[in-house]
Amino acid sequence: MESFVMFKLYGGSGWLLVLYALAFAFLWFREKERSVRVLFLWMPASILFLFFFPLFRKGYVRVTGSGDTQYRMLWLVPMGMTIAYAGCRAAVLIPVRGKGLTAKRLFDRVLAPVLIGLAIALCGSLVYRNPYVSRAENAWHIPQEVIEVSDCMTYGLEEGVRVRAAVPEELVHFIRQYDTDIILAYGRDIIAYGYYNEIHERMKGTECISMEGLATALREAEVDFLVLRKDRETDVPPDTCGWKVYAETEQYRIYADEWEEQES
Amino acid sequence: MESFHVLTPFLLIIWLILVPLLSGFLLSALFPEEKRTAGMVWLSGLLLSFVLFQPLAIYCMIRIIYDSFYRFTWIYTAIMLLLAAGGLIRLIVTWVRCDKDGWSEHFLAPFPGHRVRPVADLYHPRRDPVRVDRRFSRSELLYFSVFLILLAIQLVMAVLYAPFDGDDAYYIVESVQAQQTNTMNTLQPYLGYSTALDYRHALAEYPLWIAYIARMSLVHATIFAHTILPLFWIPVSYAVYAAVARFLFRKRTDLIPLFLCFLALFSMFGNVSIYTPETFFLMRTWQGKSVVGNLVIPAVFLFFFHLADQERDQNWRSCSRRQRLFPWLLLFLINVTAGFLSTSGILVVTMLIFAGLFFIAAFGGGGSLKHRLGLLFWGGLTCIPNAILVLMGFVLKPF
Repeated sequence: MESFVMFKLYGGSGWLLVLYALAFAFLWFREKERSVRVLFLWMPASILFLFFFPLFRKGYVRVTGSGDTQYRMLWLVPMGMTIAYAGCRAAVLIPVRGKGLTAKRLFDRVLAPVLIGLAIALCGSLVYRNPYVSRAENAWHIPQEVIEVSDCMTYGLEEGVRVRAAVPEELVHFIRQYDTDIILAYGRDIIAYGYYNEIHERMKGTECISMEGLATALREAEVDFLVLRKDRETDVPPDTCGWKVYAETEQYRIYADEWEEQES
Repeated sequence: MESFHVLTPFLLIIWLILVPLLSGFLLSALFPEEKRTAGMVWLSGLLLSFVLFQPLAIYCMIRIIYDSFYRFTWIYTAIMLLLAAGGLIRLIVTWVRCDKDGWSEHFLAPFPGHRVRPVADLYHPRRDPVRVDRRFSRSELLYFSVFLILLAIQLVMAVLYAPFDGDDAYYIVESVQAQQTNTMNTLQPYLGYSTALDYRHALAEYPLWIAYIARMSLVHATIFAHTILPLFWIPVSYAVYAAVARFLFRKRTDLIPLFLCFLALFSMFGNVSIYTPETFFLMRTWQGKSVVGNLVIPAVFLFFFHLADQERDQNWRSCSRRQRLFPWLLLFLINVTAGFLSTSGILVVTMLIFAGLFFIAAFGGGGSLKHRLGLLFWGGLTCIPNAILVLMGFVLKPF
């Protein structure tokens, strides 16, 4: 059952799978070349059979420890190559009439490929319209604000000197892609897998932050910098708990532990 | 840390093009003459660099405690430069020994224009097309132009647009950590604290290769991975697809550019879910599993078509030893590359190899039962590096 669910998730809207099924059927009846039949029809069919076979699923989970990556077995089914190959075969089904570059000849040569190309485009989904694709702000391909926040925290430090920081969830993925001299109080695993981390529990969401509790948790974790969005509310100003404003960027305010500095 | 140096483009050409090409000349001595093409020599050199990278990186990672990546960089650079020098010497010696006509026979036949082959070679996908004089029809030129436009769009979008992927917080940070702290998988990427070796990820050394090339090219590993690597992997993937297309359309070579057009369209519109290889291809191009799905797996299909074609050929017994050995050598390099790129790559590629070989042996061509079983045996031999990696995974697990 899990395999069927995974297959459905893999196919998304399912229209590309329909297109693949059409290409498969077309080649099944039209293709005569043995090697193409073996590699584009028989072998993928056997892989799909294995994919749905319950015992295989159990074996896969046993070997890999989890079935989460079983969808990668579907990569062995060459959907793209099969559709493209069947598309080419279908595009030349209509014989091209006449000689030279006449309008009619061009029509014959262009119409079928355009229709097949349209079918691919309409059945699929353009990758650049994915909500997770955005205009790059710099050569690192991470938000510019991350670079500014990181530079503020490490400004003036020698290379190799490391600082600890607690940053909002939206920065966690990127900070260490820019500078690994910044150690984080909680990481992506806490957010993605829902593990417990006291600092994360106090910082997440949009509610007003209880600053006393957060300041204590930060000191226990020996955090040097706290980064908060400027519009994030705290029950008391952070400086009353010893966290003074160290630097600011357009959207974020960076606080440093004043009491820790005095002690050291 | 260096973000981007004025010399970076030249250094990238040296480490991604020149050094693999020169070291490939050493390996090409094992190739049949018709396979010593520029593309194949370069590709074999690149795969050879992965084959050497993998065991050396694993050794340094396990045995060297402090500054392991720094020491690894020195050792690996010395090896690669030695190989490149060896390739260069072979090039010069061949140049000196051969007369001008013999030159192309021995060596630089790789480069186009050295010799014009009979047009029949064009229809033989195991021969080299670049040496054949051929005029393209207008429709072919049209399809080819459309493909180049689609490819250009993909490359420009790869530079100008930034897909978000959570896994980068692990893989890219591994690379940046190696570059910045000289450690090899011994710091927890999400946080930055010391950690025990994570065997599941540590045996796939691709993030360290990114760090290595970034260091040698004086560029930040994140810039290299996100902005430069797609410009490298995307064309290489299409080159492999084009090589597959030569087998598919051996009687209708005019359809090759149309095939590439459809594939390019399929890649752009294949984002129907987060799981498809097309989504990985254009949204996570720099990650090892993406390269497995979009380069290694098509390369295995290339091997299958090559082998099936060779098996079906009535004159396969007349093939030279080098000609028979070549596809297996290619498969060996591909196998090691799969393990180098991603641990899950080992499993899927091994599965694909045995499925494909089984069907080719059973239905693909002639030959005795012994010969057919021999295909599976040779396939098994090329998978030995995969088996070693899996065993190492179990051995390292307690640590």
